[in-house]
Amino acid sequence: MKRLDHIEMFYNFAFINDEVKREVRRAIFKAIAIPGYQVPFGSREMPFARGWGTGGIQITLSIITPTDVLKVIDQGSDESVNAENIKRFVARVSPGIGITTDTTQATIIQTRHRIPEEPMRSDQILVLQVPYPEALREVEPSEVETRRMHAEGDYGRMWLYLYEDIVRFGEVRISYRYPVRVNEHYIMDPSPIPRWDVPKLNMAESLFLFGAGREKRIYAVPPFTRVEPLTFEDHPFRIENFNGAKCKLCGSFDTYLNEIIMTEAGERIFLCSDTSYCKKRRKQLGV
Amino acid sequence: MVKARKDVLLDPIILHHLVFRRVLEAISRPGTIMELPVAKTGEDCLLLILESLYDNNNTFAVISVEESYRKMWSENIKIRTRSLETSVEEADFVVFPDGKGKGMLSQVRRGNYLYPELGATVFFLIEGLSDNRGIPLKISGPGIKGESIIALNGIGKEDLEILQELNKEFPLGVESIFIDKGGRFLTLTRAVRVEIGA
Repeated sequence: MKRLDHIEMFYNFAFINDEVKREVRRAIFKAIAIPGYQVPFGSREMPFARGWGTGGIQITLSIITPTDVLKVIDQGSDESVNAENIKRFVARVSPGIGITTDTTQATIIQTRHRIPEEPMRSDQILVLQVPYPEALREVEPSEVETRRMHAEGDYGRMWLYLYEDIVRFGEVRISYRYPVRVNEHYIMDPSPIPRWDVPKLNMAESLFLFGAGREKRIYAVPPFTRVEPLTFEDHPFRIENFNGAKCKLCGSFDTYLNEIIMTEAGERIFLCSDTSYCKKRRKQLGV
Repeated sequence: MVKARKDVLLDPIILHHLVFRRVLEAISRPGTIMELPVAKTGEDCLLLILESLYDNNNTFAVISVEESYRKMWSENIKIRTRSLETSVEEADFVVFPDGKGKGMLSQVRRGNYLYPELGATVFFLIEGLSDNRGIPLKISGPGIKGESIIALNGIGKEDLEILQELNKEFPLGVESIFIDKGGRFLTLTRAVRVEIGA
């Protein structure tokens, strides 16, 4: 936990210029007003490669204030190269902000592929990095056509796709990017979060913003909004089952776990995906 | 956690960040009354919100009972945002500084099914929010926990009915921002269900 309080005089506060921020803000504004709808925006070049969180970072830079405390996670980890670089970059160009790894202390959490284990509060905003914003892309390659499908609520092919999976495999095979219906209207890609995290989007206290920089789309789930995974009455949605496995470090069995192969012989261990939660739990337990 | 610095000089860019953050809270929690850090009047509040959102990529219209008042607002908005004035039907955002639709509210853009985000945003300067003299509204939907009651004083019931009509066909519709004389504001999005006089 540290704060970089030197002032970079070479950039605007939060790096990108004001016109761009306004455009991103207008997209965010309409995205919140139309939950689950993908608002196009003119995604700009950032000092990151596209696909490394440029959508999320443009959102973060457009909304952050000097009194914010930022946390960045990548697959649940605060310490990955991607998370560290984004955190350092935002802190460097946004003098005054605080940075943290503690979920409970953050006001903005930028994340890739996970929603933190600790419940999000109403004063927190989760910014999700999205590689493929279009949930219908699996069944329709044309952007023109998917836009029409969303406009007309023509989701039959998506339902058929799920149904065919059940017929063939007895289960919907989608493990992450599980499609959801937002506010009983649009079908939305919740970004590549595991199934474990999908229920956390439903009627949440916090605001969720989704940014796809490469695909130039922003969408949102406001607080207290119904978000339901696409499922059949006789085939309910299921989250991952770890069959009683526990985190090797903190002993947790009610968190999302990463399976890690330790030896060539195939010895496996499980660790909490949310490193901050795991660390905190170990401290509490004194292990 | 290390506390964030609070002594950062309020330059215009940082001010826009602070203003937009309140707008973000307001739009994600319709019906919640917000205040801006530096706005003491409704006029200040409106112009700061416009500055944080709009620029010369946008178009606007002002509707007022008095032509001179309309012109004054129009000039102010041009100077502060560099947006271009146009007709109500084409405007990205429409300002009603008297809080009265004047028969023009029904003509604002609602977007289309392919691009619903093209629906306009409308700004009303009104007398008060949630005081005893206002028209009560029961609101529910995204951003609202269960149901909530708000009251708007200074806007006509007929204009609220027009807003209801504009937003009856989700995802088509408009976003409304109501700003009172003291510089407080609240929003209603097109996804919110509104019962007038509840």
